[in-house]
Amino acid sequence: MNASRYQPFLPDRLYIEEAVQNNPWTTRILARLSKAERIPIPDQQALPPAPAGKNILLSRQRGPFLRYCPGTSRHICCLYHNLDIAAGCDLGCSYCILQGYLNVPMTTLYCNLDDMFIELDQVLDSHPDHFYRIGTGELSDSLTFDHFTAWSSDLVNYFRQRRNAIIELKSKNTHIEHFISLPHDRRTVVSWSVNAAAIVASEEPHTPSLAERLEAAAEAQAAGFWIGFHFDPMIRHEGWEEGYHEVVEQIFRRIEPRNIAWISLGALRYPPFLDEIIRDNHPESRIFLGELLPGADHKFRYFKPQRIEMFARMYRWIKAHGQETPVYLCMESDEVWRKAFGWSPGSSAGLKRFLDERVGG
Amino acid sequence: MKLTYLEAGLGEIDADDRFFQLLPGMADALLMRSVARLGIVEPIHLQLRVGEESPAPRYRPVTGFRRLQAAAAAGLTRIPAMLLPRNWDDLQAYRWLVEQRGALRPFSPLEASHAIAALSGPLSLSREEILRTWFPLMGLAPNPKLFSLYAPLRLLEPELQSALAADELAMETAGAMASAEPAERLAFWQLSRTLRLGKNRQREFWLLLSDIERIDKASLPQLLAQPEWRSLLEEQNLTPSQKTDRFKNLLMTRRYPAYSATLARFESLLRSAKLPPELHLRPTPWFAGEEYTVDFSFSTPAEFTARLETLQEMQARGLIDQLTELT
Repeated sequence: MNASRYQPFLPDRLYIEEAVQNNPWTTRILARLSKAERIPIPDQQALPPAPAGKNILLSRQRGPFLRYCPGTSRHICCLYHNLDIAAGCDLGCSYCILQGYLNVPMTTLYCNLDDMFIELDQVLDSHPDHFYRIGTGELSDSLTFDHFTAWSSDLVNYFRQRRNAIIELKSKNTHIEHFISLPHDRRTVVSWSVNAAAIVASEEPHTPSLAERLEAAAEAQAAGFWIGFHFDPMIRHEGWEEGYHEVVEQIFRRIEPRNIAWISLGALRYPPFLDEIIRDNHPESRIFLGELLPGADHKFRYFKPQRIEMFARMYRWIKAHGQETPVYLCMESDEVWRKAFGWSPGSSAGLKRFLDERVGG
Repeated sequence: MKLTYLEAGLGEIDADDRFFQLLPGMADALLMRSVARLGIVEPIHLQLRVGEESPAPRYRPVTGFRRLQAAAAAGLTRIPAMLLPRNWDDLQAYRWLVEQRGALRPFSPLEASHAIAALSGPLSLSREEILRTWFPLMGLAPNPKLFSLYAPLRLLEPELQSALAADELAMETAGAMASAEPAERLAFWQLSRTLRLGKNRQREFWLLLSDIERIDKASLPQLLAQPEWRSLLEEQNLTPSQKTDRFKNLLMTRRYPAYSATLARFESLLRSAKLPPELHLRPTPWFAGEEYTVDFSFSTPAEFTARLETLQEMQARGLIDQLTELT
């Protein structure tokens, strides 16, 4: 294999809120980042507006950690729960929604995981008949900071003991070393965001390669974890059909369908305000040159027949490897489901049931 | 801080030194007449040149560039001035200038652009420092987006800077144009004047054209030279408004070909249906959904029946099937 283009993120500077200075999860990070400058601050209001260099804020999560995925109106959503232990990412993908959502000038790691586990206990214990699919990959990449947080080990250990919940670690990264040897009782799905090789090269230039991600997925499979894949965002580009088909083939060369929890498909979409941000931040990108038009929820999406064409082909290529693998659409309408897949879960509740059943919910 | 009053000889002032000028421009006729009649009423501000081998001219102007120009035009030889403290370096003098100016009203985008150039260039301040310390002095929020938007504006041609200052050019469009090639922005400005585009249209057309340039790998002058586009722009029998609508259709067809093809097919089916003006049939915006909406008006039972018959005839001719297949 060629030398990796990916460089693990190591911050130059750690801004540390007073509230988490003596917290064990903070201490763990500090021990692993002994070379980073440490700047104690009373709270995040004291941060400089646009500090240079690579910075991390170690903070206290003041709101709830666990939230329903916001989904989008008039579309079928999977009723996922996000566990917000971090906000921000180092990978700098051109299409990333976080460019427009976060209002802190640096990546934030919420170190009060003691509060998080108390909150999880309260929520999961008070709804024992409800099955929760929970993920940490909404406001960040689940594993991209794990080489110095090792929070994956805390999460795998915690969810191993839960019967009504499963944790999904969703990533483009390969830092699996802190949990790969742990007992997990199949309460963890390790999933990778994947894309066509041309898109990985042009739009995800700071990430591990597709081959490295699949290598990590194969290791996680060997350790007995559920594996997931997210083709999201799918981006129309010259040669997209061959590009995406090839990724599907690569996945099934390495991963057995019985170990795949799910594969999701989502076409590039973003709220109008993000269009300008992407153009400003990534002027060399061509992703915004697609036929992206406002949808019922006002987000830009590819013209509907183009999305249906992309999803239908992907569905056919995936199902060519057997019917077992669940495939779902992220934030699409009942109509698009029917026209692309030939069936629809009918509602968000229907999709939740479909996915829950796959992982034992 | 102590300013010293003096009567400075015009020959002692280096009028070509524009380092402190926040907004380049010429003295207007009103100021010229006023100075010719009354002389300089409000003293300008000067900085003493120090430590140079050739001290003449002795002073650098800090404020009053237009008054200085008007004074020279009026043939004045000495003008009233206030001298900044001689121990101040350029940074202190610039800070005084920005504080004075910012206390009156917030800097305009163009003024901010020139200030950013001076602060980040000769005065070697970091972006972070300018945002944190100097933007508030200018009456601006320390917003990195504003910095990025304003910084390149001084690169615009004088004609475009004037249009921006006169609020004839949208700020966001000006910011985007500033990072384009001069030939591109001048071609766009010519187009904008031909079609008499308002600020919203300027922004919309600039974005469409920029995208088409990248999709077609062609420059704006090349695109505008295409026979179909050029003949539309040169058409004498259309109003600017009609030209604008037709030109936008050309841009949309090029930028969104699949959507435009569907829209054209829909419009063709509607024409084929020969709907009366009282009956309207619409798809969802951008064909995002699969529904169509029909509405019609009537005032008699006969009209009601006629509308329904029109719709039934559409179905009988297979037009409804074709419409639903479109989405």
